[in-house]
Amino acid sequence: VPFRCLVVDDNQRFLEVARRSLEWQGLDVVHIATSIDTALAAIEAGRPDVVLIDVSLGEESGFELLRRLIERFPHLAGRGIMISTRAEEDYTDLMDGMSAAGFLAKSALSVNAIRALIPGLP
Amino acid sequence: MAGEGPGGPAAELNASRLRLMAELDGAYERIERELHDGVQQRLTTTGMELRLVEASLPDGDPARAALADIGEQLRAMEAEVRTLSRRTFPAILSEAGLGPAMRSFARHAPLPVELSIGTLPRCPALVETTAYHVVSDVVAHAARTQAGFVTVEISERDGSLRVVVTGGAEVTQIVRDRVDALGGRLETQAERVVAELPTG
Repeated sequence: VPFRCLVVDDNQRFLEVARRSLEWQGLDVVHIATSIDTALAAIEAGRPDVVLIDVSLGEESGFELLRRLIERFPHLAGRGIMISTRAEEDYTDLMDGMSAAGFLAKSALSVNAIRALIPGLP
Repeated sequence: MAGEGPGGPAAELNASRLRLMAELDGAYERIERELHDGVQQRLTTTGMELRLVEASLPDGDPARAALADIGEQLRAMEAEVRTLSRRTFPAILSEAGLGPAMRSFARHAPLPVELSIGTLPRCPALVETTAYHVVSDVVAHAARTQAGFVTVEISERDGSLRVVVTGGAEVTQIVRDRVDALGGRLETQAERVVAELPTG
C-alpha cells in the first residue's frame, strides 16, 4: 500500500490536477483541502502520511498551517512539504526553523520528488 | 507659523505624500499577487495537465514529441512570469520582512551583493518598502555604471532603521522623496549611501 497524501491549496483546479497526477503515479489516497480548518479536519479523518501545503492559502498562510498541524499531530513533523509556484530560493529563509520536510516547486511535484524529501515512506 | 506644526498645511501635505506612497506600493503588490495567483498558477497547472495527457499516449506516438515541445514553451512562459512578478513587487517583503526580502534580492541582483543584516523587527510597510527601494535603487544604478560589488548593512536601533549601501552613490529623486516623506535622512558620500528611517 503506497503512502497517503493530503494536498492543501486554495486553487481548486490545481488540487484536481495534482490529485489526478499523483493518483496516476500510483497513490491510492490523495485527499484535498483548501484552508487551515478543512486541512486539520482532513488530517483527523484521513490520517495522511504526507501533507503538501501551498505557501499561500488565500488570506491564510501555509506556514501557519504547518505550525498548527505539527502542534496537533506531532507525528507529522518532517512529513509536511511546502509547495509554491514561486521560486524555491525565495522561501529558503522561511523554511529555516520550520519542521517541514522541504520545498517543492509545483511544476516539479511528483511521487518520486516526495519520496526523495521524505525517506522511508510506505 | 502658518504651515508648520501638527495639523497644518505642511503636515497635511506630508500625510498626502504618505497616502500616495502607500497607494502605489499597494497597487504593485496587488498586481504581483494577481500575476502569481492567476497567470502563473494557470501555467503551472496547464503544464501538469499536459504531462498527464502526454503520459496517457502510447510510446512512439508522434504527438508525444509535440506535447513535450508545448510543455517546454509553458515552462519558459512560467519562468518569464515569475521574473516579471518578482520585478513588480517583492512578495516576500510583506510576507517575511526586510531580511528575507534582501537575501532574495541579493540572489537575483545583477551584480554581487554582500549582506550584513542582523535580526530586524517588522517595521511599518512603508518603512520596509522604502528601505528596499533605497537598496535596489543604488544597486540598479551601480550595475549600470560599474562592474564591482555592493555591500548592504541594515540595522535597527532606538526606533530608527539604518541602511548603509557601499559601492554606489546614486539615488533617484523619487527614493529621496520617499525617505523625506517618512521623516528620514539620506546622505550620499563617495561610493556610499546612508539612510536613516524612523520606524515609529
